[in-house]
Amino acid sequence: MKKVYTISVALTKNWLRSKFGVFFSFLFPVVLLLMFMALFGEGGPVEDMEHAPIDHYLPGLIATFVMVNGVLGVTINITEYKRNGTLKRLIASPLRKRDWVLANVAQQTLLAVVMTVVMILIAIILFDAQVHNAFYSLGFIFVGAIAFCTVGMVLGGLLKDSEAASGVGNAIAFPMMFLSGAFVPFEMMPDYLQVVARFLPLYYFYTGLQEVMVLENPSGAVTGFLVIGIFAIFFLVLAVTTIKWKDM
Amino acid sequence: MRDSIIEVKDLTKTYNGTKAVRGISFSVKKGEVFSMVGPNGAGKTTTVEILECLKTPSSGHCSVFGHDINKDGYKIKEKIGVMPQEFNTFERLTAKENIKLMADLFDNKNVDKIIKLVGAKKFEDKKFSDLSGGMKTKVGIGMTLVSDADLIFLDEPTTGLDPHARREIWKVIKKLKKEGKTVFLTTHYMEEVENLSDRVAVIIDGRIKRIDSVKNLVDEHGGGVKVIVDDHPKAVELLKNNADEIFETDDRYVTGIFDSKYKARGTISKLFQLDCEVEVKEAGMEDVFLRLTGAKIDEKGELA
Repeated sequence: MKKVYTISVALTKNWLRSKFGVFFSFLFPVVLLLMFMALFGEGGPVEDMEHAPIDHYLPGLIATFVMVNGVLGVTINITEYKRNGTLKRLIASPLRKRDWVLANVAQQTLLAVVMTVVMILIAIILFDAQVHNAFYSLGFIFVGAIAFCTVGMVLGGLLKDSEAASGVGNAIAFPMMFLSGAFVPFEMMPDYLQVVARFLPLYYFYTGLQEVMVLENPSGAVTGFLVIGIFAIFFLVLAVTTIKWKDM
Repeated sequence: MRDSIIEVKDLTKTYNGTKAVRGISFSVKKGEVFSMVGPNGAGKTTTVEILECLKTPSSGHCSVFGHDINKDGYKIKEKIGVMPQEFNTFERLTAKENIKLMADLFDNKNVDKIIKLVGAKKFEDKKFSDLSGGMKTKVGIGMTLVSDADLIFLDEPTTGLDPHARREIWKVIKKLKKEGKTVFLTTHYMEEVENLSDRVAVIIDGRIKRIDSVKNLVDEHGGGVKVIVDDHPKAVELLKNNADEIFETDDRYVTGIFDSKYKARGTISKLFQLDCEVEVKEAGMEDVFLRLTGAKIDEKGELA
């Protein structure tokens, strides 16, 4: 675990010292939030008489941000470390690939959770968002962040460069975003797309978060929690087995 | 006879049908600086990366410290220091933080000692991205030495550096040699080979042409004296008639190699009477390479 900690600290320091990277990483969820509130602050495509627009949209925004951060951000990071030779330098040391995967997942999960908390705080301060079951919600966000970071690790391990990472990441992230029901109401989708959506992890992450944070129904989120948990473990194992540690 | 710590037998490596290494065999002895010299694409980096457990061989047998590279990768990695070609690391960490990071992976506490050894004290708090090429190489060597290994692999450590920075790196390599470390060096700079190596493997097109000490190679293949003239017709004719071997390496210059100084003396005095450019050199590794392969290597590592 010492090696995981060493690499996590190096990754975090390296990230924190990129002023533009840090600025835009924090800006993205905030802009996403402000943009949605500007567009749908007076009510969105679905009439939700029981909840304020911010409460209705916040779980979807969080789920989308965590997913994009993992599927796109982590994938690009990993391919960049591969391209610029940093990973080769580490592979030539006694570092094991399991430790590399865990260090990246730990660092990226922590960042995703911190940025999500910032987003939630802004939603509470500016728009009076009501966040219920705070610890359960945070736990769910944490597991979701792990799940999508592991997807990024798998893609980053398979893809050669950041161009491919960006293309593949977008191709996965955007359809998932629209099919999860977070922004386009589920009932507006054709039947076959509703079936497709039920195979997507973002659907379970979003609906689960909605049950916990907004609908005050923690038991309704158990299925989502389990699906995302299993998904995280599956992709973590997949990342460790698929990342090339030789013949890169 | 010193013990061999690297053994390579009939090693081959093929990438998508292209043979990069074609059945090479050699051994590296404890405490020596072993250089592998050749142009870009000769198979140097492929060979060294196989030994560093970064690549899988297509066939053949390799062992490092007696460990099979196909079975004991992690054991080998714990015992060697590696500076890969086109080395890079976390660019926003400082020189010291990068060396410490690698030291932590090897459980080594002597970071300050290593920083001093490689001459990185002055810029230890500068970000890696802000360092010059020579400074980056010193950090790279520092990150390599934290393994406290007896075997150090340096894959083209001075490529792209200016002559001053290159000599600074040579000093560090000489210090390592003094400390009794075994250094496996790849390079395309003949001067580097002459200055640092105990033994040299000349590799081209995936095959080792010769392995021996610099002195033996020069004695055997370098020729006594090298005379280079420009394309003055009379000078070229004189050289062709008297030299033991002739190489026309580019458009303007012709090189004649004489087996002995005595033999060359008469021709040289005649050449100086002509109105042409004449350069006389003692034979070195460049001539060895020229004789063994019929080509020279330019500054960028390409065959000329």
